[in-house]
Amino acid sequence: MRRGLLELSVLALLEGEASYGYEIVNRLAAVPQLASGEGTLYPLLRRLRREGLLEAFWQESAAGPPRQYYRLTPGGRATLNRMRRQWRELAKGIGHLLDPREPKP
Amino acid sequence: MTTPSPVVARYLDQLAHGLADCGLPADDSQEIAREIESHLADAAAAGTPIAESIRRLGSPQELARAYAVELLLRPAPRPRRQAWRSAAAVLTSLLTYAIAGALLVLGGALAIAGVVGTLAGLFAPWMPFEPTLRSGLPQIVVLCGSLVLGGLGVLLLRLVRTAWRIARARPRSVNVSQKEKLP
Repeated sequence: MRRGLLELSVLALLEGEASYGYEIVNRLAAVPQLASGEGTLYPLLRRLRREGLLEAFWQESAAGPPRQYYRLTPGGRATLNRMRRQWRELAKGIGHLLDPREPKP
Repeated sequence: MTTPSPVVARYLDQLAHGLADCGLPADDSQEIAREIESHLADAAAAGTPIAESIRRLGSPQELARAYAVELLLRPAPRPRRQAWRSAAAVLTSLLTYAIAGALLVLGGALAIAGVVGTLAGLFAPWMPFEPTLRSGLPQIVVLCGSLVLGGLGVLLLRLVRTAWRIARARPRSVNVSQKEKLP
């Protein structure tokens, strides 16, 4: 389940603008529960790209070697929307289970 | 572009080897190594010691294995179009078998008719059943017609053999093209 959440988080991060591995790692670190180490994230990025959800391009960096940027493909956007809907329904359902005063899904 | 430090260079080299050992194509391995190099450069620029960055990434072997698990054990889902394509392939090969069967029967019949007709044309005058075979046509017409029919039959048989070979080769070529898509 954590893997699915990490995937959802990466897609959501890239919804607004393209980004590169190091930046994605640092932004994901804001949610420590995801436990997304560098060693997990880079292989995940590769798989999402191979599944056609992300596309990658190289861009020069002022500081050092070029960076590989990622952005959502139309398929990635559709998957993100589907996963976001599922996550919200699940969160609502669990919320109601934990506290019946919360609204039913 | 600055050259990476010996520690980083060794890490990247071992990573590329580890990825190649896991069966990733050389292009992919090189690109992954370049991406990790850029990651280490960004981390160093932000003040993270190289040893700490490498500890977080894991050993080159561990990182390569993580890629292998993510990429090889979870192959990309087959696009739906592919299902249609394989259905179309089954239909066309069925059609090829049907046509090949019909041509085989036709070719065989023509070849036999040609041989029998030629023999009848040559030997009919001395055979007791001459009138029924010649059926009123001049002997030379029966002879030439039979030879043409026989030749046509042999041609059809060759055509069937080729079609048969193509029909049998097709499933294997589909498999090969699918395998190439895997990393």
